[in-house]
Amino acid sequence: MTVEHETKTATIVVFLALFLLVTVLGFVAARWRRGDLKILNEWGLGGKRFGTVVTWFLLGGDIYTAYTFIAVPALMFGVGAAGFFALPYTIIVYPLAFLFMGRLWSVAARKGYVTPADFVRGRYGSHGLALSVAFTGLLATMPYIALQLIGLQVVIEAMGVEGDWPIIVAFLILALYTYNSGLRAPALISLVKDLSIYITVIVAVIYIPSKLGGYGEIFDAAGQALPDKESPTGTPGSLIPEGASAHTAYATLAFGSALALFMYPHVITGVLSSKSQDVVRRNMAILPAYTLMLGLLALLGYMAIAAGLQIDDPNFAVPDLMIHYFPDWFEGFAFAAIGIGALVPAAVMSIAAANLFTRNIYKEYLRKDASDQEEAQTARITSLVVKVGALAFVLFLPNDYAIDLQLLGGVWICQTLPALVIGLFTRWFDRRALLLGWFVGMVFGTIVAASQEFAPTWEFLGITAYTAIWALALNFLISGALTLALRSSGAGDTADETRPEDYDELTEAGQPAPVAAKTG
Amino acid sequence: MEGRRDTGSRRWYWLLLLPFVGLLIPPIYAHEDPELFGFPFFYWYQFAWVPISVAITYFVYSRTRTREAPSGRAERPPVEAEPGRPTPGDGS
Repeated sequence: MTVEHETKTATIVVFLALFLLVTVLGFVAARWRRGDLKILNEWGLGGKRFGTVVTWFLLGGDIYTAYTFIAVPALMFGVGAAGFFALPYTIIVYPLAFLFMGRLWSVAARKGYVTPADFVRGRYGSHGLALSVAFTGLLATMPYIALQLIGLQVVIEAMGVEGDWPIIVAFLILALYTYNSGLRAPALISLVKDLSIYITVIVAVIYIPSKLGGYGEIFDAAGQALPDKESPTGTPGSLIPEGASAHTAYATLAFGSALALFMYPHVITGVLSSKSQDVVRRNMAILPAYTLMLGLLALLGYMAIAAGLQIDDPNFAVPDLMIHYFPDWFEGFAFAAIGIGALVPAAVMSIAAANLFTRNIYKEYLRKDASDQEEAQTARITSLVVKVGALAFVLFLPNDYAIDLQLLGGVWICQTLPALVIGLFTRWFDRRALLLGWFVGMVFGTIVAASQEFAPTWEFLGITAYTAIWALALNFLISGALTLALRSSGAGDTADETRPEDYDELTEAGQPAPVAAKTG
Repeated sequence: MEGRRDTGSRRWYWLLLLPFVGLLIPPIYAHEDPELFGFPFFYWYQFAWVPISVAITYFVYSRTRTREAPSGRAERPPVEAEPGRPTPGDGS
């Protein structure tokens, strides 16, 4: 059966009421833990005062986005098990980040770094390399914001509201309170967002299966229907990934996404806004609570199959399922939760991108003597511009599967791993080698992605893997080889303003961490 | 260069490899049986790794925490000592 997208008063009223609440909160946030918002550190990092709980909500809002609520269930609905890689991804990302985010926090705190590019400039003494990290961060953030826009668009359309104006209104409001309150706004709104999302998810994963005869029935129905579906690359869907290429694709998508996540500027912003390394590390241990929710939400894609819904655009799997089962008012509640869940990360992403632009491009190249106030003002304006850039991605790239946008961002951001993450552990790589490796990785990854019509995996030597991993391998190969070549030719490369003890609250000076090798 | 205390606590970091081994080799778990509460093995196995990974990460966190290390550390970094300081960054 098909689901009608009609406008219902109760739905709209509840939806608007929740949106009004978060809008008010967004503006009120400016006064929360009051600081001078004319300074970038205050506007863009909330004054670096967030403790465990606020950091938990903020990072949760940062990581579990429209990706979780719309894109992953859509993929499950359309291709089955292949979409479930999001679960292992959001499990392994925390032990991975546990190893390096604490170090980044510490060195950033000691040296006053606000962005990942700040760190790279200090570590390698290279403006070019810092620029490459800033540029990649800005670029990779845009398709990620675009994914949020699509999520918002989907719920608005599902309420029977046509046209682009609701998105524009929602984004204007978002832009205004972001401009006004900076990072405090999404941090405060995250609390409301999480509460409403948790209520929605708990109701959905208990109530809907009870109507469908339990999880056993849902998996059976999905197992029967999936082989008749076809992924964009032409392979049939399945309940369990079968065959070597499905397995390598699954594992590399999980691994590559995990590598990428904590290099995104918005996630780094969330981490740097916390008040200590201890808060960061503790959060890596407790954030997976959200991952359970992600896994259950993913299964909503199967519930949409089991319910026999006819859905043309897989992005509507979750909204249509909710329309079908929920009363009107709760539908409004759930849609608002999803909509706010898209706006929170979009706000942090635009703030992080603005921090990057201001610190590493504007102040570095355009106005070296910018004052603190000017810096904060530029960041505010940039946060508006970035959102327009994201719109371009929505309009010009194919978005049947919104997740492909996020995975494209991952291909790019992974190319900063050798400089950024490996750089947190060792200064072995030569800055010029890193820059060339980055460049080749970016060009190669983009060409491969485009040649696949932005499908995320690529087959080479009989192995199917996430394009980001292929590009990263090439990047490492070039960075490593060129470093050795430069070293043997005696080309000096010594600049490093950080000292080993800047990184770790745990160790004495001069000890490289034993975990460095694993991170690659 | 080896700090005696640190070498001990640093060994715990290797535990963090376990979730990678458990989750990045799909042939281990890409099966339908045994089912649990209607969930095929492929699904409940991966769900099960959420609490396991939390437990491992929390354990490593508690073992490598500075505050629980034996006292007498002379060069505790200033930021650690004053977590409430609003604007770090005068360190350079």
